[in-house]
Amino acid sequence: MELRSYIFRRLLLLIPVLFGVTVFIFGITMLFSPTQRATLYITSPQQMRDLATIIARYGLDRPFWSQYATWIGQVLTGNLGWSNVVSMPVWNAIWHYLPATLELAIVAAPLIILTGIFLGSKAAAHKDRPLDHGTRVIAIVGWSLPTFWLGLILLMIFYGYFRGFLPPGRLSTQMEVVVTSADFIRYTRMNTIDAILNLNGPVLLDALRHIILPVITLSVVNVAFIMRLMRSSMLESLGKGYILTARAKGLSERVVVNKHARRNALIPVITISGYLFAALANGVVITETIFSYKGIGWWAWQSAIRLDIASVLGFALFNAVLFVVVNLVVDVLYTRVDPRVRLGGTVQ
Amino acid sequence: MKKILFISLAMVLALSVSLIGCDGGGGEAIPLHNPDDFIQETIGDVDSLDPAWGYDTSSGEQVTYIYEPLLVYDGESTDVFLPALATNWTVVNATQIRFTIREDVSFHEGGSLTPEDVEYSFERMMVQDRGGGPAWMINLPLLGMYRTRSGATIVADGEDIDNAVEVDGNEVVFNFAIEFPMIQWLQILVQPWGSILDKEWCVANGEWDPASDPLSGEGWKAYNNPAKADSYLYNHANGTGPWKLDTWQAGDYIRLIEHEDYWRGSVPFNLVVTKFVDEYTSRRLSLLNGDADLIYVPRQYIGDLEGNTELNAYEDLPALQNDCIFFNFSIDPDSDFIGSGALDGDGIPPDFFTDEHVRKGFAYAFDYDTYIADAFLGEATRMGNPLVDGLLGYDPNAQMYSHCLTAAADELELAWGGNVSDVGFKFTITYNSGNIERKTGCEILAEQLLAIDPKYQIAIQPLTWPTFLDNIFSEDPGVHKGPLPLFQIGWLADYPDPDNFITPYMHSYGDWAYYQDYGYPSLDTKIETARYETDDATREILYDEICDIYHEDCPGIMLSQPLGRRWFTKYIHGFYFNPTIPGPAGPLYYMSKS
Repeated sequence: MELRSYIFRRLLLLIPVLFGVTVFIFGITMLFSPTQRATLYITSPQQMRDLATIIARYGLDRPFWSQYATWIGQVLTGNLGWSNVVSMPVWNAIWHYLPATLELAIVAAPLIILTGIFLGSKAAAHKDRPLDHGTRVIAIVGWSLPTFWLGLILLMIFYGYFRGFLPPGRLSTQMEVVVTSADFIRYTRMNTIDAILNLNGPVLLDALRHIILPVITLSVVNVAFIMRLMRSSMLESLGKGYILTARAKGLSERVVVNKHARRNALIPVITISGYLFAALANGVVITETIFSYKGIGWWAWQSAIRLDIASVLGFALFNAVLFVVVNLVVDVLYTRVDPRVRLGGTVQ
Repeated sequence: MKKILFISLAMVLALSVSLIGCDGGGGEAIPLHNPDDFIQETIGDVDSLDPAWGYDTSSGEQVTYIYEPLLVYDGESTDVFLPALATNWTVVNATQIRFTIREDVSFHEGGSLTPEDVEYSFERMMVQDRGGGPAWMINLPLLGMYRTRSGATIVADGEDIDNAVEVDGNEVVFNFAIEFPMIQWLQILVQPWGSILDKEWCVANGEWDPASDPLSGEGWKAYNNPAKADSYLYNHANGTGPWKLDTWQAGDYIRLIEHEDYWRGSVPFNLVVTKFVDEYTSRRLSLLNGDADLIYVPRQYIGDLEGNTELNAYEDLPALQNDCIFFNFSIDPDSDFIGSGALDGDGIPPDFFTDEHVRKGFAYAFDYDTYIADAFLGEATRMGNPLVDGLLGYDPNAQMYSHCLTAAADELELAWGGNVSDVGFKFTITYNSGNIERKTGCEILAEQLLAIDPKYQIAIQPLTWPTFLDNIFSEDPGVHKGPLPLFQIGWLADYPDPDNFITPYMHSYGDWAYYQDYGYPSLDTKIETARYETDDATREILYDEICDIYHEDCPGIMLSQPLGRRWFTKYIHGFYFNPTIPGPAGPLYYMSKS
């Protein structure tokens, strides 16, 4: 099947997916009473007496279908509603918070995936030798560490003990002033990339100082998973007949591992890496909270705990689109890694 | 292999434990960063920058930096005033007060302050009167009603709004619809909702325009009770205050910059930055690294910073706030929290707390000292009635229920003709999960009653905040109140007047009393008389009597008034505590950094 037609067909699937997701989430939120949902608008005890007015103002007591119809009507005109937790339209909130998370994902994902693939390959190639044991220990420790604990420890060391060396947040106060000035163009709202595009060294350096700890935290926890997956996949490949043939032909072990075994072992890793990237890009709540790196995960979490339905629905839509697109990309990547795979068809 | 793993994990643990002790929190010198700026790290974002909308502390704090009212408090006082945008004022009679408006004052966007701006600011607030907003304080004296609506119907008369605030030359005249104590009115005007807007700028940006939608017509009603997003002012600001809005990155920070043309002259900080940082460790390290000048410290962590000589700590600051356990006199019969719903040892009847001996028994059973020690680490003052320290009528020697299990047992013996002590009771009390104070209060009450008699059984259940609130209220308030048998919650002053505490707690239509089904006509009359009394001495006597009634009726277990703290780096000077100033930073214009 032609690539373009395959992508189009897959994107068409978005329509029922989005409809299903929104009906499901909307239905769940309707299980909360109008008063419970009205608490989103309560910021002081004094407002309790006006609950009835608030409920009426936002139509929280209308039936499910009526509220959903209103919402979907807005969505069809490009209005995803109002995010009360951050006082801006939901669209704006997504575009406001996504760059921070995307920046984390863009920096962390390659690091996690490449390190995982490298260490996993090495561990498989040196099965039951010290290198294998060492990576296993790293994997178990990394996988066992609670994210919040690791994040706090890193913060205490690199911000506390080393007196402000690697601070939390996205930028220092001074650099925030620079990037919000008229002279600095926010191309992507990702600080590192914008700093490069603006040729601004101090902002780049400051952005890097702020992103290192969250990236390390995410990497330590996630690299273990990729590493173990790669190791087992590699071991399976190394046991295959074509590897025996390659070795019998007298190829060096390096060529056997890197060229023949690793390439075939990558398919499950690509699948998981796609999901890993999607998971990072749809927000890593704890890391974003610990390091005050306010991204889309932080926003979604705030919205969920405060029953900000418009925001939750907006996030669900974003999430659904993200996962459909990531699945699509992963499927296309399969064809590049394994020429036997055909889009929309079967393995030859 | 197992040995290697064990050693690795042990090393990680040992490293982390040792690092916790050397994370820079040991009192090392704090460097001076950002010498011209004030940076605070706190929790809770701003809701809106519209002075007519914001009703939360975070919004109020930023509004007071950006906008200004007609007058301000003199230092720590809550009843002595200094001129601000008004140069002086004259009380004409009990229903009229005139303010002379200051000249040569500029708004941030360049406009000049005029009396018409003042008139517009107050009229706009009444026109807008958003549901759940602060406009009721303006409405009550000026229109004689709390809200401009009855249900969804606008009942306020546009002409009345128009006549309530008038311009007379360089003066603005407030005409009250009812006789209202002027001291209360001045206290209301000092708060964020008394901020003055630039009329031309507002109209130019789509806000209500009295010229095109005059109060004599119907058009103004379209601006009543808007959604937040409908107001341009929720995220735009143009005041006369010492700082102007530069950037508000919602959820992240709000940055204000110096107003170069400020009418009082120079401004102490070039930038005022409020960062919203959820994680306490991050905030603490920012303070100790000099990246923040002030942080919010949850009470359970105050020991972390205690004794640090690099910090200026201000302690025992009495907030105009209290907390109380309210008895529900008319519990929803279908409540899940009252067991069998009858006095049979497996539940309580819906009217269980209508018997004063039950209420007094519970009040005697509560261990107040332990509550203050455990929930507030000793930083709270006991109270016997709703009036907190700092208000007219506050009496530190007011009658209070002491913790006395014998007296509690005696009262419960008398309750419901002796049936309570015969069969006992069983029901569930709740708190909003994560609230340590309320959890402690519930635990103390349950433990102490169980200590009196094993038949007195109370279960404790945490609820999410929305569910907790949902259970306080009733879906059918005309018939009964909510499902919770009792609930613990607090009150924060709108303005420092005793009525702002007495009415919510004791008037039939008070914010909490209503949901308890407490209150009766003779008490309501007394509260209203005290509210509108203009003579302080007479008011004080009336509030003494009302507080005695509170003690005698015992509609709730009055607990405590919390004492606050502030932690600044040693470079910040000039802080003084006025409990009416919203936000932790305090009187920022009078503070400095060096």
